[in-house]
Amino acid sequence: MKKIFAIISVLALFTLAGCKQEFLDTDPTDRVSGTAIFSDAENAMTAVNGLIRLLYVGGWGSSWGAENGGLPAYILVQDIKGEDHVMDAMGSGWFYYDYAFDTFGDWTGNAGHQYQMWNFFYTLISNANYILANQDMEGDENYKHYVLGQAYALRSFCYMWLIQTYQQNGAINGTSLPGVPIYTEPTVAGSEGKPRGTVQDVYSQANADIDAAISHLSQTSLGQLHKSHVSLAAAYGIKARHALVQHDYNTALAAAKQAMQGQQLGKWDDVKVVNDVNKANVMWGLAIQTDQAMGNYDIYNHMDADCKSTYSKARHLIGNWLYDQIPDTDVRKQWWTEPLPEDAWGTPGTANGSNRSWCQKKLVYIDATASTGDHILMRTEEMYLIAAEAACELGQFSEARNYVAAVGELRDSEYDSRLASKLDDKTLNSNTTGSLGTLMDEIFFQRRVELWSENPRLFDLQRRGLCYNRAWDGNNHTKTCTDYTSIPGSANFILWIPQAEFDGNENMSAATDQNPKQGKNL
Amino acid sequence: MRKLKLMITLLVTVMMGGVAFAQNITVKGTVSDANTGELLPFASVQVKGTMTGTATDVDGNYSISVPRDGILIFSSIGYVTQEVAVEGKTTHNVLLASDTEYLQDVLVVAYGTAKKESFTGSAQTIKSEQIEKRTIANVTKALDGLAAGVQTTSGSGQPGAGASVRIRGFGSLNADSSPLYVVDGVPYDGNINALNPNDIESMTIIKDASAGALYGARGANGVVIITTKRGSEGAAHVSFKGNWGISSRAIPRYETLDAYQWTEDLYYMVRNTYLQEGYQPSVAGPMALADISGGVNNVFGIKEEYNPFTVPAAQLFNYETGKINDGVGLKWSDDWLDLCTNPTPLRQEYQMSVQGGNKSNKYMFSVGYLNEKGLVQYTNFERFSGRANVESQIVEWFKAGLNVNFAHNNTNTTSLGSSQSSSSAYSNVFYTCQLMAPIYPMYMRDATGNYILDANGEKQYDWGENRAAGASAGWNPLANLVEDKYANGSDNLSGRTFVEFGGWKKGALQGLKLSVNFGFDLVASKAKTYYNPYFGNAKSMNGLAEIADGRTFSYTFNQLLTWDRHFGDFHIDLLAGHEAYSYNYQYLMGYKSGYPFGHLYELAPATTLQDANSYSDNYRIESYLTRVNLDYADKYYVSASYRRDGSSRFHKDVRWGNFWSVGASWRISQEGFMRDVNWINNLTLKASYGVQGNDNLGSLYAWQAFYSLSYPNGANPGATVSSLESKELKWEKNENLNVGIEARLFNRLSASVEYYNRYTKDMLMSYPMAVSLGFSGYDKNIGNMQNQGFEITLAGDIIATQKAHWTMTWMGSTIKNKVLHLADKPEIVSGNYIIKEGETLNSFYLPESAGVDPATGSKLYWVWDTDENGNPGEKYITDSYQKASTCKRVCGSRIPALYGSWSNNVRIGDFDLSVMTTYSIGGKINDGVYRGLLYSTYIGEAGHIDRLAAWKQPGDVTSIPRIDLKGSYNVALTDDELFDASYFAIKNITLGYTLPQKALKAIRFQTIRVSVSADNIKLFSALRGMDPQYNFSGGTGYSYTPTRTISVGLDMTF
Repeated sequence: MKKIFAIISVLALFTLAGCKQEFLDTDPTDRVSGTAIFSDAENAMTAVNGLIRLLYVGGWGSSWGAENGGLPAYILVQDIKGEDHVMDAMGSGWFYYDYAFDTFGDWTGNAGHQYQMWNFFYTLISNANYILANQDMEGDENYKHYVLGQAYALRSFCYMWLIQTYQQNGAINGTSLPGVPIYTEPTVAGSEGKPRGTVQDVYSQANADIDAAISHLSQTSLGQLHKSHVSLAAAYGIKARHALVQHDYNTALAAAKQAMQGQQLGKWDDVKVVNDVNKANVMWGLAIQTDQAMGNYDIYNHMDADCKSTYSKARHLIGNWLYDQIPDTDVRKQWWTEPLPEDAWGTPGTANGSNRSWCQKKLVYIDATASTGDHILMRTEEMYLIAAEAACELGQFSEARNYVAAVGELRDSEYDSRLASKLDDKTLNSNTTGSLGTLMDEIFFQRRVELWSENPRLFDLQRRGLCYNRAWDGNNHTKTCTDYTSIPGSANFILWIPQAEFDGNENMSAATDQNPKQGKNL
Repeated sequence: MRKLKLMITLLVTVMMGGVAFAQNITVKGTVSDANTGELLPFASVQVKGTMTGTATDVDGNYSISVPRDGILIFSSIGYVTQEVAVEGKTTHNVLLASDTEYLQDVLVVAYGTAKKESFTGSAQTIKSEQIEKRTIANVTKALDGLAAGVQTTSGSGQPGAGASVRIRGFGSLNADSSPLYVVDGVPYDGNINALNPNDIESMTIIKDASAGALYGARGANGVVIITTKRGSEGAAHVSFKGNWGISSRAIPRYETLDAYQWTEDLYYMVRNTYLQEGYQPSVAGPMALADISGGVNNVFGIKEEYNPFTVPAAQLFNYETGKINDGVGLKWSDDWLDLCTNPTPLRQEYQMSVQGGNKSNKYMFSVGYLNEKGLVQYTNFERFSGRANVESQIVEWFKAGLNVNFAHNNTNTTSLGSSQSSSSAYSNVFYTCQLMAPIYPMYMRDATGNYILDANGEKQYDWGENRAAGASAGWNPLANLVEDKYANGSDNLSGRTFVEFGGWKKGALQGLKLSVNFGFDLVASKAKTYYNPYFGNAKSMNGLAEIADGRTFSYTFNQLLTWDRHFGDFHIDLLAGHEAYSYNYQYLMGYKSGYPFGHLYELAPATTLQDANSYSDNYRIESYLTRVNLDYADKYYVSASYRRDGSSRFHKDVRWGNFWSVGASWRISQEGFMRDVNWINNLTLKASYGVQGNDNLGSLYAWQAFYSLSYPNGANPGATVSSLESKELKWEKNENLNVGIEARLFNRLSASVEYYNRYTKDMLMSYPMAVSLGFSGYDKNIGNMQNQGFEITLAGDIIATQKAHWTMTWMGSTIKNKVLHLADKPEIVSGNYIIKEGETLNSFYLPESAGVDPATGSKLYWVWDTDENGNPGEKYITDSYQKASTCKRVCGSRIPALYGSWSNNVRIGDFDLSVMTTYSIGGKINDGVYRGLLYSTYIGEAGHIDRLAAWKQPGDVTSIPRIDLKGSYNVALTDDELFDASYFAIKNITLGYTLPQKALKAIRFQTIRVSVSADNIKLFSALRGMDPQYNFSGGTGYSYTPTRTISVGLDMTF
């Protein structure tokens, strides 16, 4: 009997002592608290790198991941809605519906570009806001300025992308049009959605943020620790882009000049394929390493016609009008396959898929097996072309000629004589597939060729108040969409705000805050 | 070692028919019920002081060799054990008195057992006989129709896959609504399909708070208690069971267009698109033909290599009629789904078990093997399982037991995996083949339609690089099945051990027991996905393999003190205890690309590491629990329980929650005034109320704000914000009322009627935020929801004679679900569904159809404009689908008005027959698969035959609008497209024959039963091809179709 009591007592004791307070405190192994991240400025680099990594991951909506591989995918979406970029087949359908202006209905769901792009840029902004809430972080001042500079620059970048994607250009259509919600505080449980505000509000925020970024990046001696980080030069480049959007050509010229300081232009060897951040002319780019590759989400899986991917069967071509304008003396003609008789074409989705008239070979994998190939976000050449455009707008034609020639001469052996034939005139031909007579026409021609599918063509059209016609004689388009693209500032050029935003935002309503109706001739 | 020897001796003894010992005589006789005189089969007959024993046959006869002066012990479950001295007589007919404690059904409930009559809660037991009739690998599929108030999905047809289960409606919004599974007294974290259904003795469905509140924070959505077979006192039984079956589709296919119909339909479709774009009909027709034969749509490939007709495209059509010219033949006609289907997938199952024991030791052990081939080629499920349950009464006051289960599972799947998920992956056969237009060949064909053979004379798969976009260009699902691999394997080890002290029958401490239980589940799983280097997903990477290892170890450790005593007519049963639960999960994954050639499934041969990752997770609960059951004179019963749980999922200030219940029952039939009412055998009234919890919020760290470290940028570690802090976050609570009446009348008819009202409060919602805040929502306890309904079970013995027996059981249940409160946002719209205050959860939210315009073929909608104050204006008709998508209304849900089952069990002589059917009346379904076939979004997809009835020309009056190439894209789903979800299903028919005793005696077997069983036989529903049990929200998907199995079985016991 005593034995039993002894056993029971021992067990009872064990029971009572069984669980310590910590028993119920569990933590994950792949996540940490914000406190740990911002304990000092050097640790905060983790948040900056996470923010940048978000630029090249997928999963921004409920499905359709293959056409939502982060910023590179969205650059493609906004380029393919122009006239210079052709898809030769529907393929598996990815990007083709954007190309064909047939995604209007997607706004109600969480898979279309309306939702995914909105979610993408706002997720980046919320991450930037968390970093910026730690203005007084401890630690090395160099790192502190570096971290804050990155966060400001990316937030600025995101707001300008959003306003260009979801609203018409302010300089053309007025800056009092509804904008997009602006947040500068970190999101917490219970945070409320903001109203649309105006286009001017968004421009002002983007301008203020990029100025803050420049200020911080000027105060750090760290330079550019990684090509994916926004350097001081790249921050000026973003500022120059913003200024073009707002038709502020003085700022654009000044910022572009700041941006090109210390940068090198790329020789043909540097740009033969545009997929390596290590080239000297790359100011900002996403370096893809094997274990961080995006697989099918990577636009190269779609655009690299020789990568044997199932998605590369829908080949990406240059509009043959633009191709025909490129002189034979211009090496850039090699970025695209020359016109071939149809029986010489390679089979889509195979190793010789790019053997097809006008097929692009500029934006491809470095190593298809590893799914690697960098995505270039800013090159020195663009800074020269911005400076050329801004100078031309300001009537400083000879300066403009110098800038455009700096790029053109590296590509076209007969460039000087070509440039000499252009009139000193800042008018841009409103027929985008018409004659190229003026200096401004020439600067834009260089932009369209040099930055083909790197800088969204649709954004250029929008800031210039242009529409276009894909149905030129002998055009190689598979969808001309003339009914959707023939009016400047067409409602079809901007996206609708996703239903999910209205569902969750007390201060926005689908009935009053949605963009104008889309459709034919609108 | 001694035990093993004993068992072997026992086996040998039984098998040799009891080798005669010296001076033995053979004693024969019958064993029957002392009250009814009914002969008792399988009663144990044992020679006292030896391990020699036998059992009565089905007719209650026994024969045993025993020493002339020996003593026989007769026992049977539910009866008082009786000892009889042989005294040289060769015949002993024994009457066993029923043990009243046992005569009543015993229910396995939370932390113990309860007599059915005394039970104040709501629970229903499913017995092993009912489970064993179903040819299933996963016991969740056996629940359908066997318990009132339980709804299940059909479950995927992937071998080994289970079904989803909901008990008494839908208790949660964002938290999991699945019941808690408890195996042998301890919450189970293993794979359900690691449990061999043949090892299961019973499953108890716990529905109300009185029965379930002791599961505290995890019991809100009901509990399924699974109890495995144990040994019993008496001679050992060795049984063998074999089952062989063939599977086929349980639900027929959707009816689709043939090659002629499809091509003519495509012509209309393309032409309509051009007409829509403003082209004149004279131009649109030829343009359409040009598009079909080539062009951007590639319908017939680039060079008409996919033109299945005997003439070139240009000569195919009569331009006037739009019909294919007479006399045009077909060069091929491949049915892709048939070609990917295994015509006779075999299912084989073997089980051997041994059970037995004596007064102090009881054991059961079994080994089982199951190999189930899938309908889809190369898919299968294989299980090696073993179980041992041992219980030992060491001394009067000390008892211990061990219960171990091992299972090794291997599964090969299509890309769907074993869950019932639908996917639009090309490698999903049910997506790709079902949507493949009927013109495309599976194997490469030349211009005359003959196979293009390779160098070895083999047919070659057609990858279809030039097929149209909707026809899975670049893919061949059959080749995928051959070349790719989607495999899962798991090793499951579960243990349940206990030691029990006390249990004296006399003295001051009588009735007091302390038991310490330790149960664990260990699952080591490995998932392999491999894509071949030649085509498909990883062609551009030269093949890819991903291997993911998961390891789960969870344990429950508890200490329970019970005190069970009778004081005259008064009986008290007390329980108090402490419990700790811990769950640990470890994950490791790597994938590599770059294979030299195919069929290399490991990482070693690949060149390039694409990704590697690992993490681990922990989850813990600590609990204090107590229960008291009181009863008086078998008439009045009262019970109350209380549990306090602390869960690691919540912040420490709110992590402790209190859950409780009270219940009472009154056995009216035991009252004095009822004594003369002979036709009422039992009448019980009961009621219970209590509060249960649900902490299964999805995240194990739901309240914490985190940076996720999974975002490195090149060589720089990177982190992003992954969750928002929500310190107040706590479990959902379920306030559960149950009122019931149970009766047994005329000793023939049993009836049970229950009413329940489950009120979920503090319901966890992902509180929607503006997407622009960077988060789509955060977890918050905010909503209230109600589920109420009736459950009726009627069972009657229509014939009950010695020779024939017929029992019929009918079950009917209702659910009324209503969302009562949703915080600041009275409605949450999600696609075609809405969650709205005052409405049923997941109601359909769709525009209202106004028919099809006979003039244009456009679909018309009733819409309205909203003024600046948000007030809707007058309704009007429009054909704008964009407008329609802003004018939606609530139009029903999947939840049926009444559902249940009707089953019959008949025994005539040595034959037995059972028929089980289920039914569901009411509710609606949006059949997305049907709609996908009706309005093919992409060119090259198959079409439903209903397309033939679509609008073709002005004047056509039809309910199906003009269909053009944009498919459903510009046609909004409307209320009138929902199908009635009602169905009637014949789930199982089993016919068995038990060999007569005489025949058995000759071969010295106790029983031999052969049976033929058909499972999932027939479904009657509103639309051919539709699976009305696909999910609980009324959708359908491209998932592995459920299977029908016809099998023969053999059961032998000796």
